[in-house]
Amino acid sequence: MKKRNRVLLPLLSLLLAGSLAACGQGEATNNASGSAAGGSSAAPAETAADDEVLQKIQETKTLVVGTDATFQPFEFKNEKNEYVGFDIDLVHALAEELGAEKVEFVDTEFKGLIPGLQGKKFDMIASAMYITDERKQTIDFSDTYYPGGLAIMVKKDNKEIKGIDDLKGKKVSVQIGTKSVNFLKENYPEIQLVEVEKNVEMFLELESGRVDAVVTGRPAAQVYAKNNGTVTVLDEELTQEYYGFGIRKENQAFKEAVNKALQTLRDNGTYQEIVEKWFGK
Amino acid sequence: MQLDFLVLFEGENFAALMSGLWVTVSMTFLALILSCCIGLAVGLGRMSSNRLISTLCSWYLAWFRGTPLLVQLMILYYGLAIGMQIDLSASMAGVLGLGMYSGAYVSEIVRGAIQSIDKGQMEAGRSLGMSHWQTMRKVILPQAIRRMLPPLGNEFIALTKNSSLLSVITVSELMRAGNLIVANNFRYFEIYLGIALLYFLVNFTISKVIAYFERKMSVGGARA
Repeated sequence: MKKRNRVLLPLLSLLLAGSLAACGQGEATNNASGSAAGGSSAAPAETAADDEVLQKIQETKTLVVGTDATFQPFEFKNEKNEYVGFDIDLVHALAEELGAEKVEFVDTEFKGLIPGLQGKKFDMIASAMYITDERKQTIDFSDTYYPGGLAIMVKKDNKEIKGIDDLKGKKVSVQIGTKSVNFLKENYPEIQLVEVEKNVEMFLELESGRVDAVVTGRPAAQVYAKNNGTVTVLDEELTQEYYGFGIRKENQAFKEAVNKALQTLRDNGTYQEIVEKWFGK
Repeated sequence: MQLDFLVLFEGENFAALMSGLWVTVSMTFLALILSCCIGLAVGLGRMSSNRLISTLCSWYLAWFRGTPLLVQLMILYYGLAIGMQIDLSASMAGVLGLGMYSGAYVSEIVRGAIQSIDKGQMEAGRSLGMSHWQTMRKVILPQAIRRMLPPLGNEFIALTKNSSLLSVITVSELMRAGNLIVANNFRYFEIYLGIALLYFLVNFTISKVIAYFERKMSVGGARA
């Protein structure tokens, strides 16, 4: 026993200390990184050579992009197990402009995207993410690349619900952590929200009759309604929202390069082609 | 909506599910080995006469049993990278996270089983001239392992199911593979039922393996 103790003790204390330090540190730096990053964005923009991401693209010719590929038509995996969608095509075009020959997608759940970007697990987020003030406190966004907005989806045979006012007292399914939650809570407190983890579950709630409607981004709702046939999207426009690519605060030069590339794609017509491919004219 | 189980085999769907299954099985297996090592070490450590070791082991147990696995995974994968610039790969963080979490539970199984062995066994070993550790290894542990097997089976099955949490740290295990397919074709029932069946097969195998060892180690006439 004595001998074993000598091996066990350092091993165990290391594990324990590591995990405890990790949690303490994790919390402390969450706040610290916010303020530190805020400071760096106020500083004069670094030159391209100083930017970690731009440098990495030059060296590896690869852009690493985080995405939650469960959101038609923005990003999903087709039957061939390939990443496809509006965001995916646009990112490929962007990467080419930025001088990256290859795009490497890292697939994760939506709630892992911002921590993953901060933890440098990838260079950029492309996952139909709305530009919001809350998110802007932690990360930066590129210029908007597509407008989206919230819409209501109901079952086709539901003639009762014609707009947001008919939803009072009814159950409405929303995806946790998305814009729809705050919007409905603030403006329509009478609506009972059913918060689910993924947009797939949101549709599932509606299909199984547990909720009366779903409030989500119009593009995704429309594609689902088209594929499914039993649900319909109401015309009423609840909000105007804009999608942006998520970028770390310290990569200002990279952000500028992305914005410049977006502008080039708009100017040369590539952007319009991709829009028409996924959303029609 | 008509059910059509052929969607499971459409295009690369089946291959995607199989590679998800492989990730689930291989990561669970590695985590299982890690959790046995940690469980044995922490379980024995908790019974150590050295106060420092037993306190540290109690803390380990309290911490890993007292916080959700999801939170531990987030700390390991994202927290360490953001806070301390320690960049673990997703699979490394996944195996470590699962193994350390499950290790806490295994340590209690180990301790319970060892303490259930009659005191006289240790006394007998010591009176034959064996050291404490020798008696532990040659007399107590072999008997205790038999009693550990049923709860260990439970724990390993729970571990397999817990591995579905790994998708949050970019590991594309079975559940994630299924979600990706569902997001493309919206065939919830067929895909999720298919996944359930695959998880069931894995866990059924585990329970059969444990049952095999239980039979093999059972001693006629002994109190098991």
